[in-house]
Order: sequence, then C-alpha cells, then structure tokens
Amino acid sequence: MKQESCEYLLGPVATLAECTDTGKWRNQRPVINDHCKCCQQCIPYCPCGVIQINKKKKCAEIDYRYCKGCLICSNMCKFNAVDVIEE
Amino acid sequence: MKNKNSKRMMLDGNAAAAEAIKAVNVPVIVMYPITPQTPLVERLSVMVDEKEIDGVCVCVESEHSAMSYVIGSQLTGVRSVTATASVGLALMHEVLGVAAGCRLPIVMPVINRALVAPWSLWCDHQDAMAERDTGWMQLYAENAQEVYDYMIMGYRIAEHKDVLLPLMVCMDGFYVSHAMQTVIVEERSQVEKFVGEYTPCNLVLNPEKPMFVNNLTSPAEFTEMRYQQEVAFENALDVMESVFAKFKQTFGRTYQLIEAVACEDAEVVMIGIGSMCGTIKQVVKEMRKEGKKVGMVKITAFRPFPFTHLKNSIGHVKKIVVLDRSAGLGAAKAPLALEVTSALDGLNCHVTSYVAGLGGRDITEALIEKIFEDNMQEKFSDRKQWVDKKENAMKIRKNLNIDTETEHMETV
Repeated sequence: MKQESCEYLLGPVATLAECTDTGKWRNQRPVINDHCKCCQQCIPYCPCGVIQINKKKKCAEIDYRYCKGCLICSNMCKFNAVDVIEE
Repeated sequence: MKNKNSKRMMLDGNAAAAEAIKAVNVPVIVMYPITPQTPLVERLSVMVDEKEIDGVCVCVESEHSAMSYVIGSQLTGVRSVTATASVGLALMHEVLGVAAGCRLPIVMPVINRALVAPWSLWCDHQDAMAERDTGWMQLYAENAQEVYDYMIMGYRIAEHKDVLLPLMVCMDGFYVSHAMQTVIVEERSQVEKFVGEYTPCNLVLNPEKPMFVNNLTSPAEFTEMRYQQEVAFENALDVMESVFAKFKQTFGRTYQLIEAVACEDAEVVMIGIGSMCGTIKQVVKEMRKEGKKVGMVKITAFRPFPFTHLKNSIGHVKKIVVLDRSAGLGAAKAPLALEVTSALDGLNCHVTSYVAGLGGRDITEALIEKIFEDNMQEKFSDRKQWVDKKENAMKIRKNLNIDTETEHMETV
C-alpha cells in the first residue's frame, strides 16, 4: 500500500498500544473450585474474555491480570463452581 | 481555449461536478439522493456502470452513513466522494467533524438549499453557513465552469501537506446546479496529471503499520490538536493562491480568493457570494455606464476567509453592502456580513448587512440596483436589512379554522 510516513502525525491518533492490568481494579475475586465440570458456559458470559479451560487440570482458569471482578461467572455457574473472596 | 485537447460540453452545475469527479477518477462514490443533488450522483452511477470511472458506486441508507463511509474509505488511502445538500448536510454534521479533525482531504460538492423548517427545496446558503465552524474549507462557485474547476483544484488544495483539510465546493441550488451552460472540460490525462496520485501521508488504516485513529483525547492535548487545524487554515489561503496560479498555467483560467470589480474609485461596494455575483457584476456594469461609482467583490473562498485580501482590496471604500443568502438569525448581521465587518475592523467605513434570496427567491437586477441607490443616498441602517421581504410578512397565513364573526378572539 502506497503511503508516505511523516515524523509527526496530525490529529487524534495513537501508534503505540499498551495493555493496562485492569485486574488491579478488582474488589472481589472469583475463584474456581473443584465443582467445575468444564461445561464452558462461563466463557462466553465473561465480558472481558479472561476465562479459558486448562485441559491438563480439567477445569476453568481465570486470567487475573485482566479479571475485573464483575462476578458474572459466579452468578451464572449452575454448579456453584465459582467462589467469591475479598481481594 | 488554452488547451487544444479541451472540449466544450453543455452541462449544469451537477453535471459539471460529476465530470470533474470523472476526470480525477475518484474510485469510491457514495450516494444518497437529495434534491437538488440527485442528478449529480445519478450521473456518477452511470459513469461507473459504463466503466468511464474505474471504481465503485455504493448506495447507503443516509447522509450520515455516506460521510462515515467516505471517511473510512479515504482512510484506507483511496479518494472517496459523496455530495449532498440542505438537510442531508445537516444529517452528516456530526461526522463532518471527524473528517476535519482526522485531517482527511475529502472534496465534497454541496448544493446549497435552505434548511427546514419551513420545508424548502430551493436555493439558500443556510446549509453551508451552518457548517462554517466544522473545520471544512468552503469555496463558492458562481457558475458551472467554476464548479468544474474548483472540484479539480480542490483535490490539490486539500491534499497539500500544509493543508490536509476537507473541502466543500458549494453551488447554488437550481440556479447553478440545474442551469445549463457551456463548460470547458479538460482532457482526463491532463487533469490526472494536475491532481496527481493520492498518497496518504498522515492517518492511514494500514494493517502493516497499524494506527488507532480518533482515540479519546484528554484536555492535556485537545487544544494542540485543534491548533494544528488552525495552522492548516492559515496555510490554506497561500496554498489556494498557488494552486490557482498553477491552474492558470495549465488550463488558462484565472481564479482569485476574492474577485474585485470596479472597486478602485467606488463609492459603494457590494459584496456577494455564489451565483448572485453574476447578477451583481451585470448591474455594476450597467450603472457604471450611467456614471455611478459602484463596485462589487465576489467572495470565492469563505473558509478560510481572505480577510487581508479584502482589506487590501476595499479598505479605502466608505460604504459597503454585504448581500447574504442566509438569515443569520439572532446575530447583529448575517454570516458573510459578520466576516466582512470583522475583516474591516478599525477602518472608517459603513458595512450594512442585507438578507435576500432566501428559500429560492430570485435576486434580481432591480433589487441590486435599489440597494446601490439607497446606499449612494446614505439611507443607512444598523439593522439587518431584509430587503426583498413583502410588506405583510406577519400575516401571510390567515387561520381559516377561525370564524371571526362568531368567535371572539382576545387580543392582548
């Protein structure tokens, strides 16, 4: 694609993308317990997309760098597999 | 004609704009119809269908979508165009700011038509005047030839590295958009050479060099970004003049930021914008034959406003009349008159604001002559002069639902 690069860009733009550890915003932490059946229902519910299945441990896993502690996973889990503890 | 490869075509303003877009070969055309613009986009769609333009023609669901589409497309490094009028321009208002703030050199024909309400289809400058603070440049064409020429020059002005601002090429609804005249149309290869190939140099959506475009900007940086646009507007006047000069060199036609006629020894100068200028020039010519010292100035560029050029041109004139085709409701003077008053600030002259020709009403030679005569006789006023208003303005709609004999109306 033909484009001229200039040293200084004009207007609102960012050419650097950084991740902020939004997990620091948490007041309460969801913790997966041994009731987890790997049904994967919590995964699409998570608004931050931080839940994955750990195939070796055979349970769901939460990425605490970005989990904001909204507790939707705990509220909807049919097997009560998500405990809530204070941060 | 300068170029032996130019040819003459019978075109109205809409067709002239379409021919210019074809000559530049703008590959992305986004359409939403609105009177009096519709024939313009219809002609473009035929050109794309018949492969006269190598590009795509897209119908969208509204003018807001049209401008959004053009912005997205232009950001990928492709010239993109849409055209609109009146309430269509108003509907895209929100997104006009995005095009301007993101410094996209979009060139858009605007066919000037009154805003609602009252609902009108006809010529008025209210639509473009309502957008004068968006950060878009504005050029006003007097006739179809100017539409063609400004569209072509527009790309070179907007895409200049010291400018990078979007541009509206304004033409009077029906008076220019639908009135046919002979237009000199240039050879395509010459036009393509004049505008050059579009190479985006600022914000670009390129997956290989990703950018976040139009991200949230804090108070710590907003002023500076807005100021960047101010600098661009300051540069734009010089860039316009240099492009006008190059256009004259290439195609032989002369353009200026303002066109002054018979102003050197004028007692009264009338300033106008758009197609009315043709009529004003004719009246000046006739009145001069009678020995009356009148002159006129046509404003070509409204944004940026050429205040220094105006001051240099008519700073010596004592009686100035500004004819606006929009009301400027709530302000001491109509939009163009405010600019002129500001440009001539500190000089010893009288500037009167006249409002005429709203909603498609014709601005006649008789009206212009009357304005000149009144000012020669010093019938000044500080109030905005609604010079073509009918006497019974407050009583033009009698309420037929009331039977005045049997119902008693309380008058306060």
